[in-house]
Amino acid sequence: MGIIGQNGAGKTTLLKILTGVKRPLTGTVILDGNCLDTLSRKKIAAIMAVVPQNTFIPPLFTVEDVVGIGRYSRRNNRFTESFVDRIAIDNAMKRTGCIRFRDKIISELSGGERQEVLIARALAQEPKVLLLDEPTANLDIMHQIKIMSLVKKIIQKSGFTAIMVIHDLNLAARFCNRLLLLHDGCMLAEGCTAEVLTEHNIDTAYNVKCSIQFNSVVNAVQVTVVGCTDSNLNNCLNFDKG
Amino acid sequence: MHLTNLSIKLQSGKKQTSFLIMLFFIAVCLCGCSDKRVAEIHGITGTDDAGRIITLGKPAQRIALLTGSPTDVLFAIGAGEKIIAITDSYELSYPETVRKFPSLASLPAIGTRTAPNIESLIALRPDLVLVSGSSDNPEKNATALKNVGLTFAIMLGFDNIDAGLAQINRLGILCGCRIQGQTIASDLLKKINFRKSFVKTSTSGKPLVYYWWGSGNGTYGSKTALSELISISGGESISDSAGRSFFDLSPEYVVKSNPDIIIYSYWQERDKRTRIDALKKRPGFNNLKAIQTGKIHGINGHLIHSVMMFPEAIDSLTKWIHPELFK
Amino acid sequence: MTIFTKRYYVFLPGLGLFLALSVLLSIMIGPVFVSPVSIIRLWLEWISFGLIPSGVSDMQRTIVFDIRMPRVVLAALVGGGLAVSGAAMQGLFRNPMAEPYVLGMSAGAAAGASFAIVLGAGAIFGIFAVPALAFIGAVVTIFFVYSISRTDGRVPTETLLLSGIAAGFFLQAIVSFLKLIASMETLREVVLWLMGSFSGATWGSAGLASGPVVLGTLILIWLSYELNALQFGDETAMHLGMEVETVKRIILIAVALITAVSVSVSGIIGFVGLVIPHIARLSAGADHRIQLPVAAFSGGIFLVIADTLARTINRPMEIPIGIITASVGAPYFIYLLRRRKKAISWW
Repeated sequence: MGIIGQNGAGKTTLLKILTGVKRPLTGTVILDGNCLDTLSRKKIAAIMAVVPQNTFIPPLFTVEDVVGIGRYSRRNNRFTESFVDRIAIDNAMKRTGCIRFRDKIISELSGGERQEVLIARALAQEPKVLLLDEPTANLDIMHQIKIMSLVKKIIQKSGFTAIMVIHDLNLAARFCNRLLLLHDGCMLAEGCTAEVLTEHNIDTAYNVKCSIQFNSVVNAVQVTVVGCTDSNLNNCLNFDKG
Repeated sequence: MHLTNLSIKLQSGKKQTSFLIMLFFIAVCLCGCSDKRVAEIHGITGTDDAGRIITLGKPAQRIALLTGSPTDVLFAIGAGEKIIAITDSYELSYPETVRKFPSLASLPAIGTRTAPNIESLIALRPDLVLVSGSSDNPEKNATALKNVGLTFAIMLGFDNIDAGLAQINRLGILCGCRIQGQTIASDLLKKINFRKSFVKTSTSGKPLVYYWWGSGNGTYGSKTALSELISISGGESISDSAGRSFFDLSPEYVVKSNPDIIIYSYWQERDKRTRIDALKKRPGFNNLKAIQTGKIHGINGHLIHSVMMFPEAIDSLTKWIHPELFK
Repeated sequence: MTIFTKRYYVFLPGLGLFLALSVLLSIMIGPVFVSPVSIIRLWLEWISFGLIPSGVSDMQRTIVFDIRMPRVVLAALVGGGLAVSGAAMQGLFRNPMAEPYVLGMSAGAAAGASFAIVLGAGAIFGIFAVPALAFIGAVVTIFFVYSISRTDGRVPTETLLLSGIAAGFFLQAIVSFLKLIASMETLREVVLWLMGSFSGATWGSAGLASGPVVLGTLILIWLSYELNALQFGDETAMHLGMEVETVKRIILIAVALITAVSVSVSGIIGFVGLVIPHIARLSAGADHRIQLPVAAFSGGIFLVIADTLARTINRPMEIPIGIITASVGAPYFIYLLRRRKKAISWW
């Protein structure tokens, strides 16, 4: 499921509430049948893993160190690594492909590679649900596709659920099954991709005029932005005319 | 310079300039001489502990104290009434002095030894400021005074009795009480010498004395008047070997020396009990001869810091070190 | 991230051995010469409950057992405790300049001790007034700093740091004021106390300090895995499954325990808590599970050596230990820095 919406619509806040970092003003979050605030953090971590944006990781840790810390909620012995831990870490690294640079230091990696490492860390947690916060931000197009395909593959193979905050509508359209469109802190639309991505919804949420077409190459609807509907912005753009 | 020689030189024109130059120098000399003369007739030329020469138009009438020590000397030579200002927390630091001379308590405070309050000081119009210094840097507290042009005399801690007596003489001169100063000093010397020879009559050797400052490891070494006082009183201070003034003496060394007598100092009566307790509890000390035999004595700090009290100090010390002399 | 590779099998026990050796050697060195043979004989006599007489004079026995041994033991304890606390603080705050005193505890202890000395509490409360008030000062300060940094059930590390610095300034002002109104004699006493010293160590004070310091150190080493996770940020640590606020609280309590006890028995000894963790990290890596034990041993070794120097360099005078730690440790640290600049900002 992808969470989309303008900046400030509340995507990050929603994610924080879902993970228990922020408390909701009203209502409760139910995870696996239990209220979120009754569960201990370790129990939450056993079910839900979070992949943050790749903005900061301590630069001197190795890839293996970072992935390894994902085992925090699962370890029995804090000082030694058990066989189970070892397997989980290796698998996580294999599945994301970062096993090929397992001994490298974080500062030596590119943005895309770091994102892979963070996903591997989440996988090492052996969760049932993956929450991702703008995983494609700051990545070049090659890595964007790579990461999205990776996540899709993981979900398909392991039966996880993934909830992803994403700002790129076309990527969201292509890779997400369901979408949740937020606007102004409220839910504007929810459902499968084609239902949510309508010209009217996007106009309301983003203040832009767009054209939606089905692209058979990627087998998904694609959104092409035509222009702004924001009258203020139009005035700015027409400034030199009058 | 004979006038006849001068008149002969006047005849040659070339030497007129050299004559003028000579005249010039004579005039300068005479001026200088006349200044000194004036001072000698009406004013004071004295020195301070750092060897600086101090010239006052007349004997000091308004003395500001930026140092604690020579207060009772001033009172003894009759200049006590001339003190017009003291340091902050004076009564706290020198309770004995204030007890003896209660008029001090009502004097205005003009800052600390190291950080004087120059404004208050100037407002009081002192003609002499007594400022403290250390032997390696005598003028360290005097810069502010120099900048405002106040006349000051540097008082150094004296490290033997003679220096203390010399200080009395110097203060006497500066206050215009030279005779009183000399009398007091020689009187003290007489008293001390009398006690010295009295102690020499003892036949029981020189007991080892450990002086403890009252907290930590502090002691006074050979470069202090106290060391000399102990020696005059017929004892040997174990802190003498280090050739220093105030320093931290290792407790191991005290244990090794195993002194016969321990003397600690205090400034407030209420501290005596705590200090004796603390002394006994110091690691390794409970087996010391002095502790076992109970030869622990407290001496008022005032006695060992003020020259005027030295005879009394020697009395106390001798009683503790050579009690057999008083039987 | 397994730590039990062969390298660590050798490294840690080796370091521990080195600590034991420094302790033993330090006991053999002092301003008064006692031959190593005599000292070993004394130990044998002690272990054998007097069955093997040492033939050593009482004076030398007193020096070794009553003066030197408790002092060396205390130096090792305080050194190790402060170093581990420093490493924990640096990990907790993710800041290479953090150290045990950064939350104002040294200023609090200084204020307590100055209060006791200048206002003559010793006359009322006896000889334990100064260490007791120093301890109380330190503990009250960190408690206060923690409480005012609390917002919404959470205690953000930046707020803690700033509150600690502010509290430190305020308490320093109190100390300065007390110094101002002090008599000359008490002023000297305050200044000397602030410089730190192991000279007054007794078996009593060493024993009293050992419990809290060892306990605190063990707690911190136990939490070193948590410290690893905390390097990724409070939020990530939460997502990984850590009860971040609880862990923070326990770390701070352990650090407070170690630091407050250390300053009350030996005054304020700086530098150990700041630099030894860096030296440990530079030599053993940034994994806290190995860095903390290495820091503990290194800190102990360092202070034992510093104390030995403090009492022998200028015999029979004693030099305040703070001077030794700074003048010996700082150049070595600068040398290390130049060799591996990057490792200092591991975060």
